[in-house]
Amino acid sequence: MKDTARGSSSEASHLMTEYEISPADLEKIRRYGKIIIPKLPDYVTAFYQWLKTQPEFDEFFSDPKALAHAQKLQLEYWRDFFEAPIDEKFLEHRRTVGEVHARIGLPLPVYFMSVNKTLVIFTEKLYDQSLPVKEYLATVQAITKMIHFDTALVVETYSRMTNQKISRQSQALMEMSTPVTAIWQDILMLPIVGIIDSKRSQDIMNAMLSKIGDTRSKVIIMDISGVGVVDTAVANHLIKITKATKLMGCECTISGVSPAIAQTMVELGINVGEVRTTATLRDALEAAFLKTGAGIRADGGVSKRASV
Amino acid sequence: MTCPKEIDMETHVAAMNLVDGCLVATIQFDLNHQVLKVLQEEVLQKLQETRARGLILDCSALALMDSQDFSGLKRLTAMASLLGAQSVFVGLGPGIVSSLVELDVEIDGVQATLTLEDAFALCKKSHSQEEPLGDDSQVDSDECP
Repeated sequence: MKDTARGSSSEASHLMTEYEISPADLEKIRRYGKIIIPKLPDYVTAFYQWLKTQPEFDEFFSDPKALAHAQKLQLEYWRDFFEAPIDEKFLEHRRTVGEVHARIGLPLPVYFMSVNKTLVIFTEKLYDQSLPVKEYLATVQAITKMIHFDTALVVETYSRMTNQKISRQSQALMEMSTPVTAIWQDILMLPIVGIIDSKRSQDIMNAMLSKIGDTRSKVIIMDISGVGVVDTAVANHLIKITKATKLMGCECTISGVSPAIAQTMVELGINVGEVRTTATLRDALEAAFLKTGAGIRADGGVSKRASV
Repeated sequence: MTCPKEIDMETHVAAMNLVDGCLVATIQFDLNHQVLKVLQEEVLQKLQETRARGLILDCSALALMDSQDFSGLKRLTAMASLLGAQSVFVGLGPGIVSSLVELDVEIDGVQATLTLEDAFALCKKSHSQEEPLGDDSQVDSDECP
């Protein structure tokens, strides 16, 4: 059998060993299933009687159609459980259930509580006392191990999906945090807020170079008034960025230099070389207009000067 | 134009065209020590022949460039400057630029643009800022072989 990442029979048997579920256990489960499977509708009734008392119920099951559908799926789920065909399809199915629960946002504690309730219903409420005590105990043990196994598959999917969501959100946050904008013909601007470490500065550089390539802008204004601390490392990142934009034919002006930052930079001996820096965004913008050949009229408007 | 014995090719290392008093050298091969040497010879010779006042180094065909290549090109621009031509780098893409910057190359004094159009504008600007020397006429007919 081909060994695939998900749901191969070797994976199934590996997991069973991990959870110490022996073929004998499976036999006991199937035998118990003969008692339980005919009573599954009673299980569903008892389960939802209990679930109605939980606060989450209204949130997830207020729609009767959704409720009926969920109950149907539940019947199938537990029939599968008691028939115990541990193979690829079984694993795949359990993982799908995990996905569904994760996607609708059912809290994991609620899920665990439901599983526990289910176990109690199966082993106490629906038990018809037909087995010898020793065998009954062994069966309960087998069922418990199996339920743990089952739940683990669901939980694994749950946590994988949550992690994916988190990394998607991080990605979105990252993209939102480098909004390079064209504020005028040939003039780009990027306000930088917060901490600049080497990863962030790489992202900033990539975003800027990409936008410069798209827009063929001549000037980019990097406003650092939102940056708290400019030490040697940060200054080097910023200077590196200005070098890169210059090689793409776009002059980078750093605006928003505060008196505190100016003092720190000189005291640290940071040399910006040819890079233009200004205190205010406004000054940077005026310089940008001059460079791109636009002129600021007496009435404060901007007009295109004859090109040099 | 003599072709160096080491490199046997029909085409030159750079395609060269004189446009508007600027020599545009379009580099067609990835750079290495030997290519740079040939490029140097070809470009300087052409600058002398054409008396171009501007040299545009078109790098848009280059996929890679390391710090040595960049230094080599900068040396070429220094030589061109001694022959009276101001240089502009054109067509350095984000990938190349990122690597060069990581390698901490010195770019003070380097002029670069993204497009040829902008490079010509830059060239014209630096020409017009120069004072005409005596009766040295700036209106030459293009003598391009």
